[in-house]
Amino acid sequence: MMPLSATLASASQLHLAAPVTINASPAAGIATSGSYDIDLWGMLIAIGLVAVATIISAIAKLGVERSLPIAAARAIVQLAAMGIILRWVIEQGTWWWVVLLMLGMLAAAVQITLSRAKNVPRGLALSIFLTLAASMITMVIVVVELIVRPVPWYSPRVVLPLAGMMLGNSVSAVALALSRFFEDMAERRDEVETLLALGASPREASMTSIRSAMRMGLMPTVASLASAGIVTIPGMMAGQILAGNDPLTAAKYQFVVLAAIAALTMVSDALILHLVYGRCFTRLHQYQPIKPRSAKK
Amino acid sequence: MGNFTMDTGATPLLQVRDASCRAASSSTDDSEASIFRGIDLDVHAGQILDLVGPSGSGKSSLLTCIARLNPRANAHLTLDGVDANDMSVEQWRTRVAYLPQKSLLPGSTVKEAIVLPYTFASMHGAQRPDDQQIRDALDAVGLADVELTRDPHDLSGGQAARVSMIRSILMFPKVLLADEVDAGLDDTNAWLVGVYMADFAHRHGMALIRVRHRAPDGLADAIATLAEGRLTVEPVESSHAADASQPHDTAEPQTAQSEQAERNAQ
Repeated sequence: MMPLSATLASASQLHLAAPVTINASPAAGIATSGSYDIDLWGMLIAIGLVAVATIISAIAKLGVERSLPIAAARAIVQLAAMGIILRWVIEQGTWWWVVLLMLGMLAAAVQITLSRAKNVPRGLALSIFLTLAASMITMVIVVVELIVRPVPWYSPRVVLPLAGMMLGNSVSAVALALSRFFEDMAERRDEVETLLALGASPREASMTSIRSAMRMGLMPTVASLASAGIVTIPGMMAGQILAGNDPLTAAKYQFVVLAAIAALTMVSDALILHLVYGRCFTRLHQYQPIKPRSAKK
Repeated sequence: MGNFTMDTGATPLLQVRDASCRAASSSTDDSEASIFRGIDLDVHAGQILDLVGPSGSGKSSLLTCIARLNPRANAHLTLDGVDANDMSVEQWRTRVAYLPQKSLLPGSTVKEAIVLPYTFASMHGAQRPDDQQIRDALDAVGLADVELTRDPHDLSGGQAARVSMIRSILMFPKVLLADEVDAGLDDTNAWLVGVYMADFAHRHGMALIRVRHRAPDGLADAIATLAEGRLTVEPVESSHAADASQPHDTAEPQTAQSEQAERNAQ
């Protein structure tokens, strides 16, 4: 992990350059004026936007006119629930509520990873849980306690959003890596059997697929690192600026998060693939085609 | 259950006891769904055994069973008196090498493809074949025009089959299980491959079990027939010389073998 963080550190100047030049003279007013709340009318207009999209979908017969409003309704409920819970936990200000909420997020993350990963065998829940838990805890400790250093150390306002962002990216990376790994192993079946016949261990026979899956899992992260600040103002930075923070502080936070996500993706992909590659083999190190779980939408 | 030991008196190199294999479609262990069961086989060092039988009779399954590669098969196996369970499966497979029907050659050059097994932990410390050994092997099977630096993707099917055979044989296994290595070859090259493997078997005391669909080439010491789940082994009565045009009539198998080896060594 050291060489990776070293590379990222040297890349930091590069990525910070864009926001810094854009915001060369940060207006002092922005940093102190605070955020603007959204009132009921604002929410109704937003819902109206979903309605417009739904109507267009219906006219153009895109077939998403049923799923779009349902997804939007889910989003409202889930976001509202998260907002209420977060506000409550922040008000409590006790470390065990923070830990409890993180465990709940972890459980949901396992379920979402399983539903996103296509054509993977049954019984991966424990491996996914261990992977997500280990990688999230490590990264939260590094980012929160070594980089941000809030007081108190469990400050829910810092820990929970960061943990959520880490977890979200871990979920995508792990789901992508799992799908790719098992797909690649099935495609490489003849090669895997040949390698086993030549005395390769299951690990040696899986290595090509493990590499391919890790590369696949890391691709979105590399893309987001390269485009951050030029093509997009990433979500976290946008949020902090909207909330009235100094854009340069927002940029620094954004880079820290992107750097952490890069390391996190590698760690969680390496962990999950290490835990599951054996699924393609019997106890006697023979290749066995996996039986995918019943396909989920 | 018959014991089809070749009656040579010596302890067999490879002992197969009670080999069984389930059909691919079945998940249970019931007798109807088995391809074969209760098969015993003894093979001696330097012996060449041809495995024949109708298609679908389980010849490949028996070979992969012996190589411990077949998840549907079971057998009690010993090599040189050592139980298969007393070594890692990877070690077993480097000693009892299965040469697959499909010739897949991972690697960016022919040389890389051939020394691939030596990159695995199970072959750690073994002496890699040098360029000259690889060159000689390629020349011997009609691949004199294939450079060691050639990309394996550019090989024809027949060339790839021979490179794949060389890759397995240069692991110096004690038993080579050759699954239709000559299926895609013309008669001349099939003969070269047959002679090369037979010569290697005799020089290194390697046992060779071949699944073949061609007419007998006179190199085998015994023919094993697998049909309806039963295996019957018949020694080849009159062992032919390497050159089919000069048959040896009544020579003892051992004598024929050594003459053959001498001839091939030339």
